[in-house]
Amino acid sequence: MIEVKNLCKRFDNQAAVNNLSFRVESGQFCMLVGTSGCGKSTTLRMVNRLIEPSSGQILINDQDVTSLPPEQLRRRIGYAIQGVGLFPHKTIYQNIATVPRLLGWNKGDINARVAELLTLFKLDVDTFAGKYPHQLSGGEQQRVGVARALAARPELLLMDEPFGALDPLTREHLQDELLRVQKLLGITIIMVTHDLEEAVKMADVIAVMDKGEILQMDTPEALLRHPRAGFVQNLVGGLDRALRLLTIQQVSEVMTTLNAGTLPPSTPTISHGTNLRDALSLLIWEHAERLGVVNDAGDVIGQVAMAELLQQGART
Amino acid sequence: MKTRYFQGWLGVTIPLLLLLLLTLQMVWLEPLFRPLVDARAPAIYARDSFLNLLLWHLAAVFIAILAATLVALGGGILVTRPVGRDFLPLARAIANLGQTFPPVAVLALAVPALGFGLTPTLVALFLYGMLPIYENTVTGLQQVPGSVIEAARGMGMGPLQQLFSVELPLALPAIIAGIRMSLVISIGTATIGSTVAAKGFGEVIIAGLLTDNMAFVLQGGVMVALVAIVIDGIFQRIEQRLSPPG
Repeated sequence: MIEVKNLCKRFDNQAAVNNLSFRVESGQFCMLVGTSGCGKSTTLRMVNRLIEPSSGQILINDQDVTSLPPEQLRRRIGYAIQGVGLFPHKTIYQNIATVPRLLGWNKGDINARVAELLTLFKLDVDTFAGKYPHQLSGGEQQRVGVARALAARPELLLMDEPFGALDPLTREHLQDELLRVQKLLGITIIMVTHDLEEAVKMADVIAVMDKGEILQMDTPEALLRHPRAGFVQNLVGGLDRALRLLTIQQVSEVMTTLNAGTLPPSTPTISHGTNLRDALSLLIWEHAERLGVVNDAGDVIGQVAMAELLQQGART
Repeated sequence: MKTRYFQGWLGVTIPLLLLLLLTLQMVWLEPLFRPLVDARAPAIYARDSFLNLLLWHLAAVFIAILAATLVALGGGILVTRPVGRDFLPLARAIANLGQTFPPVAVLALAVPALGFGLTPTLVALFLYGMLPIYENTVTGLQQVPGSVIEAARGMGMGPLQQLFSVELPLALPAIIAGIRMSLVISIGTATIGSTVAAKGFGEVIIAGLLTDNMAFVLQGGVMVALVAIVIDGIFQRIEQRLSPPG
């Protein structure tokens, strides 16, 4: 659990972060959203003390971050950034092994951990371990960047627009992978982004920031349905908000369970992990009234109808 | 692969063999030099062995540049640390001054204080050699991408770990290039050390100029050029070897 209390940061008498207080529960995915210069990165960088606050307190599991020397604190917190910052003169193996080496792990543990992480991010160990960063694509580099951040099994991962420089397709893949990895490991993530769509898709809780303050902190659904007037309303209240709402839920959450074989054979099917927006898109494309929902093995486990989907995006 | 590697070193090995050959057996070229001088004058410099001169020449250059490297590298690292950043312009001014001050003037000033011989030459070469190394160290360290430094800090590397395992390895090719430039410049500059009685190939050139012996001047000049080519070639290859892949 991360608790931020009355956090302030001034640069030359200009308040970058102004009396910020919020809480992120263990295992939650928290997004700090806002325009450039709103103080979201500054806030993130105060958590691992890359920036020292002017005043206020940050507690991780009730322990003040200032109770540890900054280097030791940072080795316990994962950190991934937009530019990735892989060491160009070191192999992928050496890059991922950075923090475990700083912590003095023995060679066998490091080998096992690097292999485990590469596998987790679907990178073949034998192919990638000995490569240098420049031999990898942007998406692979960022996977390695996140793997490196997770190397020493941190409970908390800080990410500063990690997918900002990637093309849309790669970004989507990495977002899905990060969600999968987060569920698997149960870690807490605080991520900074200016992309509302990314925030809605991934976060358990979104904090909208402007001018160094949090204007609203809520679940994606609550934020989209009941934005506060002003900046938040402008940010989330666009015409496409019904569609944004649909991205939050997966088909499996709204489907009605069905026994195999009860669906007409011509019904189009969709995977149970797909979000409702994509399901709606498929319905429109197929000119169908309902979709069959299949599990990973390809068996039909349920169905979802057009009316049910539309209901999920409605105001009330 | 093997042959390419071998070819890569040809540019060094051929001048090196030539240098060794001339150092040990300059007399073989007597027929070539004979037409350049009077019948009674010697055509090959013989007041000292070329091997001895080579060793003295190299010693002067390497001692001076080693010292210049230590100081310039230390200075370059210092002014790129948070504590030393304020000294960056000042240090650059001092290094520039060392470069603009002619080595001959340094010799002239140093002789009354240090006497004749090797010492004033070392001082001149040291001062003259610092700037390229310093400049390249600073540039090399400043060129390390910000995201790499940020990641290193964010993962919990201390300032020294950042310097030694990230910044210096990435700046090393630039630093070696600076050392290479200083060495090559110094190999040429060291010849003027012979005006204050330092041993080296300058002695051959000066003897040639004093006695109007073109053969001596040519022999000294060729030897200096060969040394410079060999050293330059070796350091260029070290530089390539140390460059990060990609």
